[in-house]
Amino acid sequence: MKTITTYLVEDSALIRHSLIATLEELGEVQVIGCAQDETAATRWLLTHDHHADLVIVDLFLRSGTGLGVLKSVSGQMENSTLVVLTSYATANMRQKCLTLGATRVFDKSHDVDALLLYCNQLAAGEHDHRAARLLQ
Amino acid sequence: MLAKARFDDQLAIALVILGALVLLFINEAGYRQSKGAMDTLVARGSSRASVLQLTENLVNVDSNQRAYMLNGQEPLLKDVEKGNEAIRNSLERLAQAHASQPQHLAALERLRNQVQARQALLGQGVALRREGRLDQAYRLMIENDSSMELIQSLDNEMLMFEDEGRAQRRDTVYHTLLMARIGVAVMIALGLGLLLLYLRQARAMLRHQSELRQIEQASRTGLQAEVVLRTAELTDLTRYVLANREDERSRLARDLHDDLGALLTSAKLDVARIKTRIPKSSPESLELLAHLVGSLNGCVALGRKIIENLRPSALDNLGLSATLQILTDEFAKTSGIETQCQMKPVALSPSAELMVYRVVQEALTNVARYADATKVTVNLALEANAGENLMKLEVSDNGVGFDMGAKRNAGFGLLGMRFRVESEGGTLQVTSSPGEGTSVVAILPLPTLAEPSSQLTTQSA
Repeated sequence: MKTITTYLVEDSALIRHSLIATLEELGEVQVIGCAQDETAATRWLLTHDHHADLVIVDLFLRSGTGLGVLKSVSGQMENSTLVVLTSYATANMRQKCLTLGATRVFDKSHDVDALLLYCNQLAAGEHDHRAARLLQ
Repeated sequence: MLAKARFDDQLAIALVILGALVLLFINEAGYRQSKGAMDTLVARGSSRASVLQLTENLVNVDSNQRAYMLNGQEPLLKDVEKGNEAIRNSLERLAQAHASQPQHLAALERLRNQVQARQALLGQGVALRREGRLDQAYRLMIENDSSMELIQSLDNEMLMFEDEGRAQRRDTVYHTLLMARIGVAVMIALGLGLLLLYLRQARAMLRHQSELRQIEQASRTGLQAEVVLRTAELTDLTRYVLANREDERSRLARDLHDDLGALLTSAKLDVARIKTRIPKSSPESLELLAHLVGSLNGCVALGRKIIENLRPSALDNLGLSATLQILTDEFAKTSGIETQCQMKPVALSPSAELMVYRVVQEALTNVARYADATKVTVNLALEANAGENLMKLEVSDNGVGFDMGAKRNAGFGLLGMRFRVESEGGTLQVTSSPGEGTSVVAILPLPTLAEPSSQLTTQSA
């Protein structure tokens, strides 16, 4: 089990606080940075002097959207896993996110446990992004 | 003012009629009086002739007798006899003509006595002449010559009476004629006065009517302008209130979604953290935690429902057809009314989509509240009419319906629906009658180039 470096794109301070605490307490997760808007997130993600294994993206941000973030980084983060954590997890939206390169879409209200489980599995190497890609 | 004018009219008419009656009466009375006077005048004329004839006869008889005395010719006596007869007749006629006037009768009586005395005297003279006593006869004649003068003076007295009567009668006729003349003049003056009055009043009435018309016209124009202004104001106000209401709902929905959502998510994350800290040996605590999670999920569901009611985010996320499908499905579930939904994909502007959604929502609310229906159909279709594309939305039920003429509680609901549809440039028609169900039809002309309905971006803004 290895420690997963995680980058958080979330505009709600409350969620950020709880999520960071929960992730670091429960899993082998280390949150290495946060962004509250599309521009900051994109800039951080496209800079190559640091690496995040996991990027958790909220769809509605202080400015811009998570979809914009996904679009901007699409195809340029082969070593990272992108997941979406949103309260607009409609079927339509899920489809859109998956098309733009997200691996999973979690609902903020219902899928918190699923997200934590996913993080743990990722730490255990069960959801190796690169492996999954090679298998395709 | 009009009542006064009518009263004046009536008074004028009454006056004219009264005047005409008075004139008629005066005229009639005058006519009768004149006729009487004229009759009397004619009669007086004939009795005057009688007096003159009497005088003439008296003179004739006298001269005939004198002639007889001179020549003794018998035929002259026959003329005398005829003359005496005529005198008697004349006296008789005069007596009749003056029967009503005792003073005249007395004079007439004196005349008669004198005439008889004269006749007796002449008879005596004739008798003396027959006996041949001529001297005595002459003497008798000469001695009594003055009796003829007396008779003449009595005759003149009678003539005076006649003239006096005539003058009286003539005065009466003149008086009557004068009265009639005054009457006619007064009547004409009165008539002219009334005509003048009437004309003046008619002109005043016309002027008054035209003034009234002007005032009425002015007030009507003012009123119409006021109504147009007020209606425009009301329309603007209603549009503003509706838009404001939608904005407010959106804001509230967003706040609930973001802030309440964040709080609930945070709480759930905390629960996850607590869960790992509770030892497995404490099942009560785990049970309690599970209950807390259930409550939190309840909160999430409630929040979603409220948010969805406030602002159909599904409209933005799923599009109109799917949102209406969800709405009708949910309606069928909560109301237990069989609901059929037929939807054609229609490209509408976001505000038009919201309008359609709200109309269906309101219509379904009305069905649940008032219709007592067992079946509802919601139809959204595209129609082409005269080269124009139309959206046709129909919500109909098989419920109790209502009397279109009567007001009812849903009146404002219908009004609101109509306003929403008209704000988007469409028309709303509601048809219903008791026992026949209700049908709400909204028709909206579509722009020739369908605008793609924008998605998430509108909500995030």
